[in-house]
Amino acid sequence: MTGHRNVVVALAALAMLALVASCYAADAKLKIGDKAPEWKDLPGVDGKDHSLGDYGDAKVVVVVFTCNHCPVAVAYEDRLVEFQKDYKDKGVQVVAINVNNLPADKLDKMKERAESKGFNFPYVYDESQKSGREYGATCTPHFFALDKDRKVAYMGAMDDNNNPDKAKEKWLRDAVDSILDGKEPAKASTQQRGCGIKWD
Amino acid sequence: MPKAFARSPLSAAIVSAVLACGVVSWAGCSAQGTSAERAGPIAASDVRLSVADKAGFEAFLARQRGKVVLVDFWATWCVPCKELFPHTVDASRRYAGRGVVVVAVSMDDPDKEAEVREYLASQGATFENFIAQPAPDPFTAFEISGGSLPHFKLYGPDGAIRRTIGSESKSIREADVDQAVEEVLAETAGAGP
Repeated sequence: MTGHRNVVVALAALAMLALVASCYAADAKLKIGDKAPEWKDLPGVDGKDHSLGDYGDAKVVVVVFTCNHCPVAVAYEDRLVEFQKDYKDKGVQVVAINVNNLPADKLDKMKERAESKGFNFPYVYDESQKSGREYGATCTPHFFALDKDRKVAYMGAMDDNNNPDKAKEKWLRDAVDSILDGKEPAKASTQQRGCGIKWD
Repeated sequence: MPKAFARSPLSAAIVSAVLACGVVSWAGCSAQGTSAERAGPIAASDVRLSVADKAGFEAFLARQRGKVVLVDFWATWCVPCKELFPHTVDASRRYAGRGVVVVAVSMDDPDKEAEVREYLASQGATFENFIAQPAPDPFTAFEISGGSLPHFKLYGPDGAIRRTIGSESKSIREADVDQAVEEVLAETAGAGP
């Protein structure tokens, strides 16, 4: 009987370990100050391939994990276009990455959306979902701002309300302003919110 | 078949077992109906819905002591949430007799209350429903991992959190929710408030 009991105890210990490990897996992948993961040669809606290294001149790169189908992501499209317009001359480059595995989110649909919304930034598709995994993207939209050394300086939501008329705290703008000033954002990380990413 | 087996206690036992299984399955099927049946819609005025902050929600949870509580966090803008919602409504009926309370919390802005109520009515959501108070950030207040919907939580009869089912790194399937409910029921069997 002792043999059986040992097996039960061992299995229980293994189960507890798995539970604890899964909790840690759910925490943020990147910390503020981490070197941002690089993506290479992701196909864009412009028919070209795009890599993080393309933006060597940019003072700040804003990476947004987004998609076509999620209403929250859609609610932020105009704001993102406006943000890129306002910050282009300040040396800020927006890049939108779609990692969703869903017919509504494939490259052909991305092209249509980019055209109809007048995207003024690259909108690229990562079929491998690797960039999403490496950044620890949890939902769409999920925002990351990288400084000139490509360290993560901000992550989370763009602002505090899906409705643009009700958004008061412009977290992303405030953070990018600080980063451009060579300062750490007062709020370097906020709670992102949106539709869970469609992982494989 | 060898004569000895046909008349042995073993064959009698096997036949009885097969008959018993047949009776139990038949009884089970007629009691539950098909699990694919959708609940019929209810009147919008019959939907129990109110805005709550975390403290208000915790007060509700405290009133459910002695039961396992399954919480479905959703929003009218969340398509996968709506794909899972009929299963949540179905679970509220299936698990009612086993000491499980189902509650749904919408992460919509309260100015969408009419739309939320209409959806809940169309789904036949006869259980208690809340809309999360928008400030302070409800995704933080209600601990929605990764800010990602859909999201489920399970509380035990003593009020302790037992399971968190997030969608930030994996899509949630109906079977994931059922499995979690069954596990929590098994873990807390015999446990009181």
